[in-house]
Amino acid sequence: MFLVVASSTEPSWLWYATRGLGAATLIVLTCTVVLGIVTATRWMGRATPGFVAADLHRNLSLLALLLLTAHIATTVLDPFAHISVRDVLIPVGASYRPIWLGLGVVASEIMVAVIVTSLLRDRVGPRLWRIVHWAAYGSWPIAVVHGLGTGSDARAPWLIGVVTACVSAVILALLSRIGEGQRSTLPIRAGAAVVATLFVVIGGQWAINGPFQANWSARAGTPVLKTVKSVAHVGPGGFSDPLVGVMVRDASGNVAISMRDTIDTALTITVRSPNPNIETLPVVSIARGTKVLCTVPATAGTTLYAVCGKTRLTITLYGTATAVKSGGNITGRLDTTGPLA
Amino acid sequence: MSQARKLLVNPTQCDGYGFCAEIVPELITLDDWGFPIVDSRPISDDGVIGLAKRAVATCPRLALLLEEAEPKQA
Amino acid sequence: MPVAVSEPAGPAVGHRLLSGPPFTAGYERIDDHERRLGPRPPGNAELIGRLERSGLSGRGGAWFPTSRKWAAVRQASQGRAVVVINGSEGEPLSSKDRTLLLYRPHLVFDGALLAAEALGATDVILYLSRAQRGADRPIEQAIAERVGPARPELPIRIVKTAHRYIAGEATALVNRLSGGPSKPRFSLYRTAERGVDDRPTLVQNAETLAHVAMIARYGSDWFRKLGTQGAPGSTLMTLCGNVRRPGVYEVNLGVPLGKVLQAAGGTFTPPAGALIGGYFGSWVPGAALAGLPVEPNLLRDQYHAALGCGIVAVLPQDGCGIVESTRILSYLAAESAAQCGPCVNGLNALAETMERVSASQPKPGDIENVVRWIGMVRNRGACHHPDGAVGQLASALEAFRDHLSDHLYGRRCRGTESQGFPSPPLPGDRWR
Repeated sequence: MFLVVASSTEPSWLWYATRGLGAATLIVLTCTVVLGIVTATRWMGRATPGFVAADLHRNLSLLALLLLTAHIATTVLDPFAHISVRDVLIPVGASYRPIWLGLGVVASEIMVAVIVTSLLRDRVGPRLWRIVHWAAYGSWPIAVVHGLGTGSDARAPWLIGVVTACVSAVILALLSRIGEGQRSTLPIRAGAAVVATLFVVIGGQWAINGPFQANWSARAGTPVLKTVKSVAHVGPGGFSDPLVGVMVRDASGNVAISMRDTIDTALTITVRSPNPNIETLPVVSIARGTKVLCTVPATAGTTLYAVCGKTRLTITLYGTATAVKSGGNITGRLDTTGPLA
Repeated sequence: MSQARKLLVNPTQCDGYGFCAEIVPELITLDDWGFPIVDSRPISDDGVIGLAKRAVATCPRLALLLEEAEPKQA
Repeated sequence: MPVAVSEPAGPAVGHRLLSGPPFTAGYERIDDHERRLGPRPPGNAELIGRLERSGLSGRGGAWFPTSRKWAAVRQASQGRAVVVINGSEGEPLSSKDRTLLLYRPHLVFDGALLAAEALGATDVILYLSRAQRGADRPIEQAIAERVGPARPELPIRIVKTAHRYIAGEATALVNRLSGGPSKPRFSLYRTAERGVDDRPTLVQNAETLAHVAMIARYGSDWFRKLGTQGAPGSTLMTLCGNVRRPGVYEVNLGVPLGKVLQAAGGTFTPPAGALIGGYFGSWVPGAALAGLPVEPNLLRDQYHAALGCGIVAVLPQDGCGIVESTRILSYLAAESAAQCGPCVNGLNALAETMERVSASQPKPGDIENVVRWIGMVRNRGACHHPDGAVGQLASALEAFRDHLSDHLYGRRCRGTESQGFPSPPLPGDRWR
């Protein structure tokens, strides 16, 4: 049974904004970390003063903080996932994907601590400043894992591309920095190489078996939210309701769509590809709760026509061009000429 | 007239990045090994003090200190 | 206010700290010590005034006025001060502190307890290096003698550290006693204000404390009966190298060095020169030795030399100051804590260059580099280790400048085979 996120309306622009801002924060944070790693290597060339690289690193970190603030603000303001102010301050106990959200809280708190101690470096002293700054090395992988675990776009090519680019950039920066140094720093450099390798190996395995899987949304703890109102269309007359659901594409190209009526929330609609040896048309199945109302063939395409008992159904799927390629969340509309009971 | 300051380096923290010498060459030059030779006499010029503050903020090792100093005798 | 004293019981000229039973008898027990010199008076603020009038200066090498150091600690103390007896004696050629701790420990301990009482300290620590293992038992026994119901004194705690050249430097000592390695620390505060565990700390050389123990008993006028107006009293010196009877001697400050060498039986061969003050000190050419005043202020002002911790290492006639100075420089480069770029880079570059010069195979530009680096390294470390190292080298280049030109022109020097001057030990590798 697919768990579907639903609310009284479709996701608002804030939900999309926070996902985009999260990715942007990760990109700028990655740049900050990479610049921090290579500051000592005069990567800007002999002709440019070294302090320019140091200042760039610092300014990018402030930009990352700005984007982080916007990302957190849009998350809290968005009604879709019901993430509250408490949830972004305390890394446990949120209702929406608690572990992965909690990691984001941890990463952002480390980032804030780094920036605050840097602004107050006179008071803080070199030792404490350096310890907190080293924690920044930890905040970045936590942010990556948070992004893959919490975000709804884990399987989207653009996000996979962004994450791959960010991880590669940091690995390359680490390699160039680890390779050079005095003998006395060899243990710490070797340690960094080991940790980085472990992160890539373990993180990669987790990503492949976790967020990149179709059922990650459920495993990550996406809650089923109650709608504001649920109207059961059992009386005469047709209706037209928005649908929300997921599309899953398996290795051989077969598609299975599972959607829920956002108004009459007991209604679920599934569509599956025809069985190649037996059928030629996709099959639609409508259920109210656990009771299957009908299972009938439908016309193929982004708009499906089917007849269930005496009621004609039109199922329109939105944005299927993207969904067909990547799988994941989709929306649609169900129009009927009569009740479904 | 603002308080005179003096710029000091903690040589045990310093790793020879050299950003300080780029920012405030009025007070810092680099030796043969890239480490700063710091003029620690009292500074009263506000412009130089400003540059010194920037150098203190930019040092990746927090090795520079700007302390209060007795004003230079005329 | 001077205290009237009768004729001192034991010490005569040249024999104050070292008077008493012969060293073959082992360390002087506390009962003998008190019978010979009288019981230890209590320490108080008045003692600081007495030290000031006595003009006692620290015998650890810096010759800093002892009363000023005590006054600074007392002012900051507020009952939490720490007294540290610096017995680590990092200079390889020095034996005076070890001699005192082995044979006259109660003089040193008296001084430390006087300080603790005068400064309001709650801890007294004896800081030793592990090289002095042979001295462990007598020192522990002497400390144990002071514990008991008859003696309401603070106990003395021993802390040992690796035998490194700079382990005895004040901030390195404080670092070690605060739980870290014996490496110097940069601080805007003096140890008198913030030392061990950030408490006001008195770091005092063992010999200085022995003098304090005497002054407390016999007064400042008595102390001033020896020595000069500017540098009163006696001081311990370690003589080695080209002398017939090397060892520790107690010397009347102000006498010419020639008389001290005579007291040590004279030299085997006419000296080519001598290193005064240890590896932190200065080379003096042979011709100047006989008349050289054993007085820290005159040495500094008139001879650009330093008495330091009283070492006199005499070169034999066929010895070469350039060769020996280079060996010492290499040792000091290896003994750097390697915390400060100018020190570790500068001393290593200087040692590498001087090794070529000392082997009479210099490259073009070597001596110019040496002169430049000597100026470049001074005063740029967290401690004065690089200053001492380059000071020693610079004095050798000056004192043996005629002979230096032999090296620069590739002429062979017999000094490399000379056996009559002690070589530096192997550098250590640990810091605790």
